[in-house]
This record gives sequence, structure tokens and C-alpha cells, in this order.
Amino acid sequence: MSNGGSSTNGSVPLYNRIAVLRAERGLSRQDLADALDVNYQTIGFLERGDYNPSLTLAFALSRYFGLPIEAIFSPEPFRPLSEQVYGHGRSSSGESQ
Amino acid sequence: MNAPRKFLLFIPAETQRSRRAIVIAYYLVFIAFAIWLLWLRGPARYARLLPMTYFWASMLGGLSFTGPVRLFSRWQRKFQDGSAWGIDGSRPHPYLAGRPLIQPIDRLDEHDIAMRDRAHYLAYSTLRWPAIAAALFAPLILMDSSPERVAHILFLISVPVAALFFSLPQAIILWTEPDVEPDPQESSPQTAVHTVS
Repeated sequence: MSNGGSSTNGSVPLYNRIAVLRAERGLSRQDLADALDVNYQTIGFLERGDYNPSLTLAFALSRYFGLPIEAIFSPEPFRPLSEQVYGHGRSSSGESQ
Repeated sequence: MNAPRKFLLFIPAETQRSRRAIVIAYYLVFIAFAIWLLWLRGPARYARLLPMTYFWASMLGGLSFTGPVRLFSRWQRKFQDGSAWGIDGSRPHPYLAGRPLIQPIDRLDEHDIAMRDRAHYLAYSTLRWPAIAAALFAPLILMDSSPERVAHILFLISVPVAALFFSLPQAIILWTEPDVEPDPQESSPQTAVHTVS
């Protein structure tokens, strides 16, 4: 997941789940770059949060992963997937049972 | 399969450190070139400077349509005729090879274009001050000079400035382009340097 650092296009930091989604699907950066018709290095910049994509590229990613844009990008840090699926983080899972 | 190493100006360009070394070497030679201009006299020698300036400026790819120095691009494999974009020490420039140039500007994605625009903005916003200063102070310096001396000084200034305007955006890209960390999903290791435009 990107750390949402300062982006090279000078806009506000944006967090994303591209690396997680790509790993889930067993895709290399090159596979994803070929599918989106961008340079594979651009995928790396996106994943690290060094570059915020245009709307066109964001929609292309959304279409490719079959997810809404807000599931891929967020202005706030994403909660861990385990926390989202099970409702709580590991430390508080015992308390919820 | 081990991909061949890529070079720029005879220096391997795989890492950010080596790319920065290329920029430093380039401008050291550039300074030597500018000093050599001080001894240059005569119209014939001036005429030779024009192609030299073009050659000098294009060494980092500054005169190509593609703009950014694409060190990590793999897009050359999409060129069915095998043409490459620039002078990387191993592939002929498409113009020189007589091959068709396949709309190279289309080969830049949005991040490349953002990087290119940022580098050009940085370069030109820096260069405008010495350029403005030279334009304002040149008449004061040249006021009482002979026409031959005026021509000589104008050449001394314009040739390095022209080369600098072309090369600086490319140098900024070379200097700032980070190393690409290995991709765990990649079955075969990524080759760092593929094409230079």
C-alpha cells in the first residue's frame, strides 16, 4: 500500500492499494503496465504514492481490477484489509470475541 | 537470460549513482568545451560550432521529440521494426538509421509527460535569470567593441547557452530518476536500463 508521500505531480498525497491488488492477482508490474498501456515504471511510482494518476488512468485501474475507484484510492490511509474484513485489528480481535 | 548492459556516454547507467556520474562527466566536458571556445577565431571555425552544438545538446537526448530520458522503458519491444529512440551506445538513432519514427510522443505515458514537463519547468525557470541578465548586460559590455569582437562574444555566449537549454531538462531527469526496486511478482529480473531517448 502506498505511503501517500509527496507526489511528483505536486498534488495532495493519495493512498492506494495497487500493490496489494496486483499481488493478490499474481501480476507483475509489467503485466499491469501492458494492460493499462503505461510504462512499468509508472506502476512503481503509483504504488509508492510518488505519482497521482489522472482520472483516465484511475478509471482504467478501476475497470481492470473490477473495483470502484474509492476501493483503490483514498485521501486517507487505508485500514488493513484484515481489520476491514473482520472489523477489528489483531490486537483487539480477542476483545471482540 | 542476462540482458546487455546499457551505456550512456560510455558510462553504465543502471543506477542513480551512475546516472549522476554521467551528468557530472557531461558538464565537466561541457565546461572544457566552453573554455575551448575562448580560443576560437574565424568564421569557418564558428560555422563548425553549429553542428557541434547540435551534437553536444543531443548527447543527453535533449533534441529528441520524446523529451525525457527513458532509462527504464521497455517500450522499445513494441517497435516492430526494432528502432530505438536515442543514442544509448548500442542502438542507432532512428533518424540516423533511416528507419521510420513511429510517433514517439505517443510512447510517453502521463507520468512521463508530467516528469518531462516538470524537468523543463525547473530547467527553464533556472536558466531564465542568467539569460535575462546576459541580454540586459551584453549591450553594456559590447557598446564600444569592434564588430568582430561582438560576433566572437555573442558566439561565446550563445553556443553554451543553446547547449545548456537543450541538455539541462534531460540532466534533471537523469539526476532525479530513482532506482526501481525489484518487483517480487516479476519472474525474471528487471533490466534497469533499456532505452535512452
